[in-house]
Amino acid sequence: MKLRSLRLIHGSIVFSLILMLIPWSGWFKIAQPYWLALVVIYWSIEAPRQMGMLTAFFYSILLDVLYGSLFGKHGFSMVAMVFLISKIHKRLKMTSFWQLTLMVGALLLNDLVIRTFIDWVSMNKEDFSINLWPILTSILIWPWFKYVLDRLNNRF
Amino acid sequence: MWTPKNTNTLSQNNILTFLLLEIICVVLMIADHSAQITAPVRASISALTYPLVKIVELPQQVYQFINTTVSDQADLLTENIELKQKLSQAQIDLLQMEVVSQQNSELRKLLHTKQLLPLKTTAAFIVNINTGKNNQYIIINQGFNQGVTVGQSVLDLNGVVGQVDKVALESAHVILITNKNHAVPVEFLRTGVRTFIYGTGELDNLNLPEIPQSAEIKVGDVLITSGYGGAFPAGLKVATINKILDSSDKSFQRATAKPSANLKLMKQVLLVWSLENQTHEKKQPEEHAIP
Repeated sequence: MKLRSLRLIHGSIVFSLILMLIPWSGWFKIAQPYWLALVVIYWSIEAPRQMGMLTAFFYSILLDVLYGSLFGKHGFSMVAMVFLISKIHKRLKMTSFWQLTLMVGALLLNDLVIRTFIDWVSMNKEDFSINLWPILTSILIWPWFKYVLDRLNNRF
Repeated sequence: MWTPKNTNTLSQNNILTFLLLEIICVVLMIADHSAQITAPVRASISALTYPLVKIVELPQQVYQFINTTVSDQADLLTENIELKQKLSQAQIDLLQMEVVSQQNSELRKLLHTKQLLPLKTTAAFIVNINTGKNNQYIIINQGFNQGVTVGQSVLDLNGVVGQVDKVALESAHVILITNKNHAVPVEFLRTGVRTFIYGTGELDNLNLPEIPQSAEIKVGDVLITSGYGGAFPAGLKVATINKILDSSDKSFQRATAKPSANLKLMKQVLLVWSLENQTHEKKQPEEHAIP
């Protein structure tokens, strides 16, 4: 709709990609929140018409190229996530703050399960450790994250 | 506006795009198993992501710039003296090396063995590191535009680091030797016994599950690339045996080894150019072989 908010949407997504690229070391790397998913979740709840599955698909492909991961891996899980949100975004907008935070956690867990499954199928390895830390840190950071984006969204 | 019919068509459209995009993703994932199909796609998309990589690199470059401009004159002087000492030592070593390599090539001629080819290397900086247990890789700042190809070997000054497995326009994805999905054909420097060395997912641990029962091994044995399989040039240091394991299997001995390359602290790596890669450049036979 408004050009300004479109700019904010794409700007924040690109910024989240940059955050994901920062080469942290050690603990920070393991527990790094899944920034791109957070931004995509926020916008697909707040602006479902602008933040469609195509946009999510496009940026996930960029992430695949940046990470050198299997082509389409992040895309597959991200498109599924946006689809789920598009089914329930009206209800999500109404729910209380804490319920929404829990839902974000559930969505991220679902996303992680899909990606782990893809890894498992494509690598043929049995011993697989699932890293749950990014979900925890993402949930912890979500309130502040939403606050900042709400402020930005209202100003523009 | 809000008739039930209207929303119905909207959600049906949603399902169609959803299915279409998921099918595209699955096709991409299957296609990605052969690098030839998706490599050009990756390369062209990475032109879009190039500015992002540059932005992430910027703080490091600024830090380096400040570090070099602000560091003391005295520091530079002591560093200079140290470097000069190292250089003179290296020159003396080089003098001896020439004699040794001369002798070596004569001996090889007598024995009719294959000549060790001179290695040509270029330095590359590490842009990103992933050391998670399931997938260990680094991303370096040279790619398609610099002529990097899939399968090229990557070293640091102490030993083998890994192998290029995906190439983007200005960067490349290097799979580490400690990656669970990676194996290197190696031989024992002392005895010449050939075997394979596998990654374990830990940065300081490699696995050798297939050493022949007849071979005599001990802790401290050095492993070098054997050159078989063609992926790595022969004679590069890979690892040192640090533990010999009891094996229930009677047909093989097992051992673990520590990588020679400093995988935890490296900032810069060397890309090895094989002779096929350098055919477009002039050959430089005077260059020194890494023994």
